[in-house]
Amino acid sequence: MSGTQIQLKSCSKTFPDGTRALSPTSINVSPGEILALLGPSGCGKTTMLRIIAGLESPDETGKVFFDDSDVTSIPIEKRSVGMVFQSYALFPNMSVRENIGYGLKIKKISTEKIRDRVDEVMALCQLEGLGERNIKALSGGQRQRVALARAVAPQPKILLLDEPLSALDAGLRDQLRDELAILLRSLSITTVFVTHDQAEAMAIADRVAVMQKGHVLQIDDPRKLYTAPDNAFVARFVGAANELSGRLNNNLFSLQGGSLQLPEGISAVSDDKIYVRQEAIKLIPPSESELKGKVLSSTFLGNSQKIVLSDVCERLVNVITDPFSKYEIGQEVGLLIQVEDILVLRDD
Amino acid sequence: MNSRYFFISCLLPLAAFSFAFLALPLVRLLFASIDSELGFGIYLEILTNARYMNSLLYTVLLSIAVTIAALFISTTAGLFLVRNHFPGHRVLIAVLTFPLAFPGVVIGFLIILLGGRQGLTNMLAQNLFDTRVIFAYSMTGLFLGYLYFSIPRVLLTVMAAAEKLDLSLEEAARSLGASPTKVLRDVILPALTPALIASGAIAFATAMGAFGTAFTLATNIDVLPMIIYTEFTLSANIAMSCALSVVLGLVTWILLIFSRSLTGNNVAAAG
Ligand SMILES: Nc1ncnc2c1ncn2[C@@H]1O[C@H](COP(=O)(O)OP(=O)(O)O)[C@@H](O)[C@H]1O
Ligand SMILES: [Mg+2]
Repeated sequence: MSGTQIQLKSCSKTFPDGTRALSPTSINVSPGEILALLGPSGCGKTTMLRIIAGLESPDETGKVFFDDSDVTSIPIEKRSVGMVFQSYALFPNMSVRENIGYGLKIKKISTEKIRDRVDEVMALCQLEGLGERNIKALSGGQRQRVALARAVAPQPKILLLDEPLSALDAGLRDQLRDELAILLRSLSITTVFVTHDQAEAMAIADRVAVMQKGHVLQIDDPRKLYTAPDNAFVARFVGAANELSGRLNNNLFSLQGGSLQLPEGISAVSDDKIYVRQEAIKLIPPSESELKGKVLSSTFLGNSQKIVLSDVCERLVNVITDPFSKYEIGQEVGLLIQVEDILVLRDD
Repeated sequence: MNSRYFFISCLLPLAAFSFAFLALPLVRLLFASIDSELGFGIYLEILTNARYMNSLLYTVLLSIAVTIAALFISTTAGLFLVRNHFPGHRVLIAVLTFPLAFPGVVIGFLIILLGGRQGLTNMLAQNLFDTRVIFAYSMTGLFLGYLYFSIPRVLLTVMAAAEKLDLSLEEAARSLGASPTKVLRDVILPALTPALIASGAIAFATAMGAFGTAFTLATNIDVLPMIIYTEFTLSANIAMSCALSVVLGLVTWILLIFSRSLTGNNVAAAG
């Protein structure tokens, strides 16, 4: 892959008012890679992105490298980064074409070359025919694409996007998510994008960094994050996981609704909790299982159905199963959980 | 239908006010201006009288100069004050807006204290360089006086607009490689333009009609309000002073409409 490598070396950020937005963090983003920063609101995603951009400087010990060059003290205007802001920040006094061409105009590129490049980028972002439009006359989706087109037009080394889809309404967001994923991949620029939506992170990114309270908890590819989360927070945030609480005794995990045989050497369960994905629980006749629950509700979802069980443990347990089996409210069911699907996690 | 009546009734106070204090006196003024043997010819008299026309020209040029200077000083200061917080910040803003509290006459005195015959600069110049520096009783003095009371009005408007600037627009421009001066030119000034034109119009209109300061500095300054005053009190030429008032009002009004149309275009371009 072509492109620039990004390296953060123990970058932390403490704001003048004392807010510790980011704890010391070191990450590498490989050339051409798409990295998602995923986490709940206020966990420091934007701060990290702004440190990479050069809009925020890290605390003293932190360093930012683009390939081999230390850019820590270089201001954003000299870093050659393309940036898409959460609000899109399109220039209201310029047309679509002028917005997209602005970075090229600043670079003093000839008018013809600017025109050609803007045409090219507009085609890429499906903005043909909108060049003379006023920003105010664009839909949300179009604004998002203009913001992206403006960021990539000057061929930046690095592309940074802050919640690029969060300003759109839900239906449009799903459609644009897939388009954005395809587009970003075709650009093969090193990309970091911020989101609080795990589906968005999984759909778009090569790797996802899950963040909480200024810490990066785990960086992995989406499949690894899902199947092997490092801790309970990651498990809950990336694809919902059921938390089953009980008591562990000689590899036998006892819950309200019965017991589960855990493999040897799993005794290090903190707080006596285990985690199981919703689709990893199979429903079988109660007579065939040591662990039982009661059907509280069933919701038909088209390609699947969601069953909520009570009486398994203190919390309700969600199960995703095939859409056509019929379950009555109040019916007793048995739970079948494969040992390899049990996630034993450090608590957050 | 109901809401339409409601909106119309909302306009009633303004309509009544306009009628009583604007329309009636204006019509009265107009009639008074043609109430001499010249009739409407009095306006031709103004157009052909070099003293009146020069005075009008000076007044317009002075007001434009004051407006431009006030806009320049207030924009730079306003942006600085909004972007930088330091000890004494509030006090400085309070001091800068202090002239709002002074009537024109007092500002005239201040200018005399600074640049008059017994003024600070003249005394310094005489003691240090043995020359005389007196500017209070000239256009320079008037310019400084008008500038002094125009700055606060413009400054407050510019600061209010600068507070509302969208910082992410500036960051976006910087991310695309724009230097601070280009950010100023391409993002900040376009966003401030409506506020600059609005406050500039007020500064201009105030300077066109200002009288107190000119009256205090007096002697050889021929701005139009002064001429109106002398025609009225000394020559008792009521028709002429009324006609000149109409001209002053008209010129100011036309120039304001012109500047408003500039804003209009700008706002249209901005969407
Ligand atoms: N300029 C600032 N001054 C003080 N605190 C800030 C500033 N910017 C962000 N913060 C705080 O830092 C934390 C992380 O913010 P941010 O990086 O914007 O979170 P996220 O993008 O993940 O929602 C939040 O608690 C936020 O309130
Ligand atoms: Mg954010």
